[in-house]
Formats: sequence, C-alpha cells, structure tokens
Amino acid sequence: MTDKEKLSSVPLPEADMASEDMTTLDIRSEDEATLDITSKDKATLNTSSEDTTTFDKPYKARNKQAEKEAAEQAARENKRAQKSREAAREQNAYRVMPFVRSSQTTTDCMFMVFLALLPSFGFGIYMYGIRAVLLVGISIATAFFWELILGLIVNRRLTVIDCSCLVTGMVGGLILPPTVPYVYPVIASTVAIVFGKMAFGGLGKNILNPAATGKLVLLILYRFVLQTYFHDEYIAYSPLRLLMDDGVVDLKEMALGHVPEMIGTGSVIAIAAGVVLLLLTDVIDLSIPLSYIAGFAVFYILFGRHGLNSYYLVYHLCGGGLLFTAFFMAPDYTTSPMTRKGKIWYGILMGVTTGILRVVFGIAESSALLALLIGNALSRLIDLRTQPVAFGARLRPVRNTARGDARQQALREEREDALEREMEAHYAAFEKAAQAMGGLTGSETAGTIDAESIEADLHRKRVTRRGQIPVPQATDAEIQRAQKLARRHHVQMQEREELYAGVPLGEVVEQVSSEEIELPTMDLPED
Amino acid sequence: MARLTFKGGVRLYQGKDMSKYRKIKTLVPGQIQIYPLLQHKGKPSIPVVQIGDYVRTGQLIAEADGELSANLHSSVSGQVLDIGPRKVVTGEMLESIVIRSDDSFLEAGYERDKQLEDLSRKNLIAIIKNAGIVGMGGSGLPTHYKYLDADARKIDTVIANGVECEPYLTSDYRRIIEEPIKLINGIYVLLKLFPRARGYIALSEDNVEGYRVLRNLLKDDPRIYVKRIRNKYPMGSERQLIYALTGRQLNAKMLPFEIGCMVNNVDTLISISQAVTMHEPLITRIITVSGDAVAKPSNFRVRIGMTYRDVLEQAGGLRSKLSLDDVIILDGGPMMGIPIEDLDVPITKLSTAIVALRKKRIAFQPETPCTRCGKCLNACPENLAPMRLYIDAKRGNKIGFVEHMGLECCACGCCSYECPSKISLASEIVKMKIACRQNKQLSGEYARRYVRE
Repeated sequence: MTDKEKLSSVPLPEADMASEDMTTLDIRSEDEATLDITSKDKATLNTSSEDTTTFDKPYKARNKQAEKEAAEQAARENKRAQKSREAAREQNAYRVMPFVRSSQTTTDCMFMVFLALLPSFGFGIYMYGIRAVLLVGISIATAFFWELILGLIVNRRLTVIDCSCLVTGMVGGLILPPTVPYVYPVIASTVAIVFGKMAFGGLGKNILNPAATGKLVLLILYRFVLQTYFHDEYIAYSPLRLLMDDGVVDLKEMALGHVPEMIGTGSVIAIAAGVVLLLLTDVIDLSIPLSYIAGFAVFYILFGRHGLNSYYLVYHLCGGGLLFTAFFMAPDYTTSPMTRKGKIWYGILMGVTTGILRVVFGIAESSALLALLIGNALSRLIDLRTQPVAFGARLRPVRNTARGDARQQALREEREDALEREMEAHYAAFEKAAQAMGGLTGSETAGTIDAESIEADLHRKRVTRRGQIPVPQATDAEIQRAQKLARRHHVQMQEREELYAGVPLGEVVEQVSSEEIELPTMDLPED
Repeated sequence: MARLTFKGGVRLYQGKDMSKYRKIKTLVPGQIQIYPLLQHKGKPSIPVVQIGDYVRTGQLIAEADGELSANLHSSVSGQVLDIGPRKVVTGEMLESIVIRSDDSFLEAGYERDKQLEDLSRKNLIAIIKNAGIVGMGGSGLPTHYKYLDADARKIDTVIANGVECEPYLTSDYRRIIEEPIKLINGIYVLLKLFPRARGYIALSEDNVEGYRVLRNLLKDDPRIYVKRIRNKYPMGSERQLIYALTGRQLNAKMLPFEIGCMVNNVDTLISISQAVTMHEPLITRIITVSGDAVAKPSNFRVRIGMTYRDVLEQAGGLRSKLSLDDVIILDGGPMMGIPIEDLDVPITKLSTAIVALRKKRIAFQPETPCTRCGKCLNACPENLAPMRLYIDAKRGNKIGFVEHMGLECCACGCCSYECPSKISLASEIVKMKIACRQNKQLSGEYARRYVRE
C-alpha cells in the first residue's frame, strides 16, 4: 500500500476537488441568475402585453392568471434547481477520500453523555423526589430555549439537534443543591448558554465549561445559600463539610449516595454505571479522569495531614462531587486539551488544584468546580506546549553502522560466511523441492485462456447507467471470437496431453532436475 | 504471541470474507488494449514500436527513459493501432500505445530458464529492470531504482509486505496461499542481492491460512522469518511496518534503505521471481473485484491494458437492480482509492482493486463544527495534529503547514475516518501537501524522495 501518491506528475483527484466545490457554488449562483432572468423576461413580456391592452378588463384578468402561472412555474423551477443543487452536494460528498467513515457523530457522543447522566439523575429523584425533577427539568428547558433562539441568530441553523444543550442543562441541574429556589436553574442555564457558550460562537469554541460557568455565577451571587443547604424543611451539611468540622459519616452510605449532596453527585454507584456506558461506546477515554484522581490522591497523601490513611483519602475522593467532575465534566471535548500528553497534564493540574483548594483554603463542595474552571482556562495553553512530535522526527542511531575491533569483525565475517554457506545449501534444497512441486515453473501468462475464462467472457453482465438501454448479452462477433478461442484452447490441451501422456507432471520435472541441475558455488555479489 | 504494532491507527470493518475464498481466475482480454506510457513514478517511457507493427505477448513496446522510469511490455499479440493520448483512471489524458489483439497470444521468445546461483548482482538488477517491475503496492517506484541506491553491505532487513490493511482487498492473501514458493523464491533473490540481510514475511494476524502455509515451507530456514502483525489500518504502510517489525523509526524525508531496511510488496516479489527464473516481464497482475455492490466478488489474474469495464463485467457485473448511478466504483480500497468516473480506462501496473460500494450505504453525513475531541490526534499513525494542519490548509498558510510537519502526512485518511464531526480532514491536508511539495524551497529535503540528485 505504502504512499499512494500514484504517479508524481498526475494530480490526485483531491487536487481538483476544491475547484469543483467552487464550480458547484458557481453553478448555484448561475442557476439563480438564470432563474431571475427568466422571471424578469416574463415580467417584461407581461408589461408589454399590458401596454397593448390597458383598457380591456378581461385582458387584465387574463394577465393576472398568466402572472399566477408564471409565478407557479418559477416556484417549480426553483424547487427543481434546489433539488439538483442538493444532488450535486451529495455527489461531492461521495468524492472525498476515505469512502468509509465511522458511524459515530457528535450528536451520538452528546446523546450518549446525556444517557450516561440518567442514572445519577435517577438517584437524585430517588433521594429528593419531585424537587429534583423540577430543578433539572427547568435547567434543561432553559438551556434548550436559549440554544434554539441563539443558534438561529448566531449560527443561522438548528444547533439544538446536536444535543449538547441537553447535556449542558442536565449537568447544570445535577450540580445544584436540591434545596435551592426554582429561579436558580434558570439563572445558571441562561448564563451557561448565553455567556458561557454562544458568546464564544457556539459548540466547540467556548473556553470554559458552560455548566460550570453557570454554577460559578450562582456561587458568586448566592454563596451562602449554596453552601449550607438551608431550606424550610431540613438543614444539612454535606459529608465533606462534616469531615472538615470533625464529624463522622459512614463510607458505605457515601458510596450508595444516602448523604446530603448535590442532586446528581452523591451516588458513586450511579456515576460508575454512567461511566461504563461512556467507556463501552468509546465516547471518553480514561486519561483525564484517572490522572485527575491520581493527581489528587498523590497531593492528598503528601500534604493532606493524614498520610496514607485510606479512610480520609476515599472520603475526599467520593465527596464534594469530585468523581462527577472527573468523569462527566473534565473530559468535556471542547474545554479539555486535545493532545495525549496534554490530557494527562490537565488531569494532574486539576487534581493538584483541587487538593490545594481543599487542604489549604478549606473549600469543600466547590473545590472540584473551581479546579475545573482553572484547568479549562489553561487547557489551550497546555495544548500549545504539548504538541506531539511527528513519527520518526527523532531518529535513533542505526545498529548496522556500529563497528567493532578487527578481531570481532573478522569473527563476524566468519559467522556470516558460515551463514551464507548454510543458506546456499538451503536454497538448493528449496529449489529442488519447489521444482518437484511445480511451484516455480507455472508461468503467469501461459494458460491464461482456459474454458472457464472463455465462459466468463461470453456471459459477461453489462454495467450501465440508469435509463440506458443495455447492450445485448453477446454479439455475434463476440460469440465467434469465443468459439475461436475455445477451439484454440482445445488444441492446446490436446498437445499438452500428447506431451505428457501417462506421466504425472511432477515426475517429468524431477527427472529433468536430477539430470541437469548441479549445484554451482554461489559467488558473492560484486560491489 | 506478542503482536507487533504501532501507535495510532484505526480498526476497520474488513469485508474480506466476500472474496477471500475465491480462487484466482484468469480473464480473457478484450479486443483492444491500451498501455499508458506512464505506469510508474518518474518519467514516461519512450515507445520503441511504430503504428502498424506486429507485436507479440511479452515484447518490449516502450523503453525506460533514464533511471527513474520503467520498461513496458505488450500483454497480447497483435497490431499497434495508434500511439496517442488516451484517458486514464485519474481522468487525465496520457500518451499511450493502443494494440488490437489477434486472439492468438503468441509469445515472444523468452530466454532459457536460469539458475539463481549463476546470476551476479548486476545481472539480477538488469533482469529486474528489463522486466519493467515497479512497486505494485501502489508506490509505483521502479524496483531496480530502489536496489541501486541501497548499499548491499548495510541492508540487514528485507521485508515482504503481505499485510493488506485496506478493507475488501484479498489479492495478496490469495497469492500467498496459491503461490508461496514463488514468494519465497523472490525473497531469496533479494537475499542474494543483500547478502547480510535477514528476510521477514509480514502477515496480518487474520491471515491464519497464509501463515500456516509459509511456516510449513520455512520451518527450519535460517534466514527467512514469518511474522504476524496486529490487524490495524494502516499497517501496510512502509514506515509503520518497519517500526512494528524492527522498532526503527523513519520519517518522510528518508527512504527505508537508510536505516537498513528494504520493503517490497508480495506481488512485486512474485513478479521478480517470475522475471529471474522464467524471464517473464511484468504483464499481468492480480486484481480483487469486491464490495457490497458487486454480484460475484472474486480475484482475477488480469493482463495489463484491459479496461476496468472488461474486468467488472466479467466478474458478473453489479448486483441486480443496480446501475452505475447507484454505486461508486473505486480504483483501490475504500480508504485511499480514487473514484472511477469513466469505466473505459486501462488497468495499469498500479491498479490494485476495483471496489464498488452502494451509495445508500455511504450515508451522507453533513459537516458539523469541530468539538476539539482529539480523536484525529489519537488516530494519526504519523503522530501529527491533523486539526492544526487542517486549519493551516484552510487558511492557505503554507509555511505554517510545513512547520507543523504537514509533509510527513501519509494520506491514510485515519483522521477523517475517526472524526465525529465528519470534517474531511485528510483530503484537505493532502491537497495542501501536494501544493507545498511543488514549491522546492518549502519542501526542501522532502523532495529528495521523488527526484534523484
């Protein structure tokens, strides 16, 4: 296969692809232009007829009818032109190089993330009931609304179909505490879509995670409400807060999620279910989450004042939405680095930042979120610093240029000579065996014309375009030719049979080889 | 068994089962054969016959023009009708020789069979050159040119490339099973040329049958090893194959002989064996006709000069109720192939396969904005950043493109395959690469690969 650059002087079809694109565009504009001209012509015709029949009412009516017909015809032609344009576009799509593509699209990825978030959402509903449904529902609805409107204004198309707004709304709802008033998700989603995403130009262009941006604004506005879980019905502290205040919480309860947390971040099991789905469908890879967790764990072991105590470490990993951030928010395509190395550095950076925020500053719930935002802000920089080195750009020294001392060299040459002698013997044996099998004697061109191939030639199936009248299966001349070939083939076969009458082919060759072939010594190539 | 592999690449749907079990059949050539004078990389060859001459099968009809060029032989016996421009697969008009077959296939007198032991290095290279053998894996570099450059003392690895990583192609698979002895003989010729080398036959891990056949034949051979390699696209690419087998890296500026390797396709080696033992020039090649739109996918031994229509029609044509408008016909595999507009163009030494795919199956997927997912980066076997190169290509930033190592791209199309936004990265990058290569100041050392100094 190697480099399929074909012939150096022959331009690849890709070379003229752009020009073709351009031509199709031109054709479009030309089409429209011609359409305009025709309508104008009709208009001028109409006006001229009007001039002649200005005083006759029935003629006017007739004119109106003609105008109507002309308009209809124009519309019809327009439709036809549009159809042909679409066909041309599709034709072009079939001309671009890899003719097989993976079936995974951006919409698929986003929808998979949405599905992966459902277990966490389900657990939120189980814990907090209708309130969770309403909060997340309002969040999704607001995100969808803004995406629909701003997508039409900014990008001039329906951007909602790529499902990214659903994910943003879902994540934005799931990282809210269950006790907040219903205005909060509206504010968070609005900020997320309008300022976090669409202000940058839509999907793929934002720098900060939209959902995290929304939460950040809420944190700035209502810090007290968000951190104390204060509500009329109950007052609770998140397990991490409790731990920092020297409280005690069961780890089992934390793993299941029976603790006061954000709506979706409490249950480790629900998060794990979602992550399994994402890994099976190849939407995320583990480099970012694992390096995040590893970075945090190492930092906590070194500076967390509890050493290798696994209780505190697991506690910190499960609490404060760290796992949710690591698996669902950090690997977000747009805001994380693209390169392999960069992803790992990004994870470590976020892990260490989370650790600093928790250990030094004592921030419990929002530490992972703030670390994520800091990581996002730096991700493009990380990308720039960790560009991959092209394959083969750093070359290793080649083994066969190394030289030993004279004695070693002599030894090596001796060994090589021995090897060559051995090879000669092997080749002689191989050639004898090959000739006995008739493996080397089969010519590529001899015996090309046999009965089967003549049959195939005669019964060929014509390949035609749509609507084209197919040529009859075989013309008389072709049949005559086939008969001639068949006769020739028959004669050939008879000759061959006479030659090798009663003797199998293998034996003939073997007799010849044993008589004629001696083993001459092989000369070393001269150079 | 540890599988040898490289970083990056993609796993594709193979589709080889369609034509894997079909024996190689020979085809009857049509009445009129066309031989473009440029069937290789380099200068077009010079015709040595005149209009009206009678030529025989295997007779020389065009001579190589200088070192980077190859001889051309007639594949039928008959009369030279015309020497003039004819259309080729790429859509270009190329100077070609047209021969009308007289259906008797009279052969030109070949020399007597010779023993490999009697031939010297110079003889062997002359034989390979006279037979007009070029790299049949798609590179089209004249084979003798490759051997001339290499220092016989420094080559320590000779690789037979039997990895068919493109989907649907099975011609090498069939060749290895049906003619293993010729393949081994071809490697012996190479080992004779490079006496300090060790021979490797690289097979895909899926090719169990070929592995068994070759292993039985080479059970206790001291110099030739059969290796199985991870089934991944683009494993058959020269540089990736060398890396997987020997761990040596190679960039696009260099040729394999500079790091002591010599890579040849299985088809090339078999034609070398033919040329050396039987003095038969390169006038046939194996072509796979496959794809989901073909009625009977199979492998054929095709004379060079037949038209694509001839081959496709004798393969049973398209499936019922399908016309040319419903399918897309490719010269080569679906990853790197070229769509054939006109079927009445000749098969050359470089054609590998005819793949016909239904347009319905190639779903039309609209382009969406890039989400920076980094999948193209993970898929790139050359370890490049395709998205960055794509942006350079879109902006027409040639200097940036060269700085970002865009000339290292091997045009495999992995990035386009993986992209969830369906951006056609590969075609844009290749277009830009060709534009950059034409500028000698920009391409610098990369131009060395194609022009001898």
